[in-house]
Amino acid sequence: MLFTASNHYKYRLLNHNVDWDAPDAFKYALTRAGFVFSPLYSTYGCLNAYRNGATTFNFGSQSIARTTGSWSTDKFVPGNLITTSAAGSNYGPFLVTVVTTLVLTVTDPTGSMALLTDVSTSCAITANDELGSGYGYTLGGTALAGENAGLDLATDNAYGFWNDIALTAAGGDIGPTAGIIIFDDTTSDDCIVGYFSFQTDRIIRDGTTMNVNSSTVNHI
Amino acid sequence: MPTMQSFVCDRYKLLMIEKAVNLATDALTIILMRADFAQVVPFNTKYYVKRINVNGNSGAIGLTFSNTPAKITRAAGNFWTAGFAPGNYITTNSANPANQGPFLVYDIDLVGPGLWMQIVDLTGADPTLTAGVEAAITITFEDQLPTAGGYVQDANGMSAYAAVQYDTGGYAYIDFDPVNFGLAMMGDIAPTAGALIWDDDAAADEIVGFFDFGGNESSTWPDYLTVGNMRFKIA
Repeated sequence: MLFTASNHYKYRLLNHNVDWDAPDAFKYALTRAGFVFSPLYSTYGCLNAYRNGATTFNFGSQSIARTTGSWSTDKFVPGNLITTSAAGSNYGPFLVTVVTTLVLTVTDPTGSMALLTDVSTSCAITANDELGSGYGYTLGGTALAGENAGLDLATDNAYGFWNDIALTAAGGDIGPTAGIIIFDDTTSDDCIVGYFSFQTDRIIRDGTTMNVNSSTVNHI
Repeated sequence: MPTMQSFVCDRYKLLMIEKAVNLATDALTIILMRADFAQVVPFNTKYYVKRINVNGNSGAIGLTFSNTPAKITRAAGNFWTAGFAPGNYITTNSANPANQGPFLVYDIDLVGPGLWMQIVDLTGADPTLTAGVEAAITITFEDQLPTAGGYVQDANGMSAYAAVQYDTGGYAYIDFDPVNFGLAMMGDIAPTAGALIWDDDAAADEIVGFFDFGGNESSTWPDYLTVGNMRFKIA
């Protein structure tokens, strides 16, 4: 598995906000099929970023624009797979590729040109990057156990670690899922530590257990 | 221009993820190291970790001097816990000139633990000692520039810097203000091989890291020596 730390986690570490020794309460969350992590995913809320229908959006030209507020404040980041409550082709899903304060640049989920209809309308916009609840997985994250800090003198790295993750599917399959987000539930913003990519989508078949062994996060 | 290098100590990394230190708000001290520090025996981030590693002494103890390679062995106690670390510049008060030094600590016993130190001369070569047992010998180590001219030991503090999340570069960092040595004391700065920072608010004044100047630097009053562009980065 390939681990990528979030930029925000590096900042939180530097700013005395994360504790692997006491330790903080860390959780994991499974991501949707095809999910590709960006280090700009800063908080757990980015997985389920949401803007309600009180805002008017301008659809068109591979983008969804707003004239007030901020997409970043609403936790949208490049990599989000979003849907809207707008009608027709503007419903989505779309893949967010660039986020500025007022404009989301999007493609279709495969990276091709999105077929947006030019219109101004009010609607809700939601990111859907976490796997939904069902068959043993619960949306919102599951607590890790045995968190602690370690020091690898061979590589000069300090790192966090935790007990193996074991997730059993019951009553149906879980997934497909592309990987595991680790986040710090103790920090005020549920800072994302980083992401373990399975490097291919995986399905936990009904009655089977997925084990993620002795995961460690190399920090600094 | 010499090539500068920077090192962060392993233990300080651990303290950071244990939330035991706060680089943004802790009181830090920056010191200048002696000439040639870390030039023959490289700076060791694993074992050069606390303020006590910078200077101190063994107290008067019984020692055995031996050769090939040159070693100093104690019967009891521990060189580690006394503060010795690879890279230390040491001298002794032995009556045998060959055992007086100065030497550099090259390695310290990990198994004993801490019963022996392998030493080299200031060029890194294996010295020839006068072999034998000697009583009540004190080994002194000193890696900080002495107080003289424009430099005062342990006198330069640093504190209160903001952490920055730099998404474009994919890292977080803290930039420290430049520190001027020799300015307030109106004196020369003797040759120094680098600057070292420790954290006064950490439990044992753990060393944050070391800036290796890549060679010795000095200044003559009224010029002063400035250590700048210091950035601590988590990438």
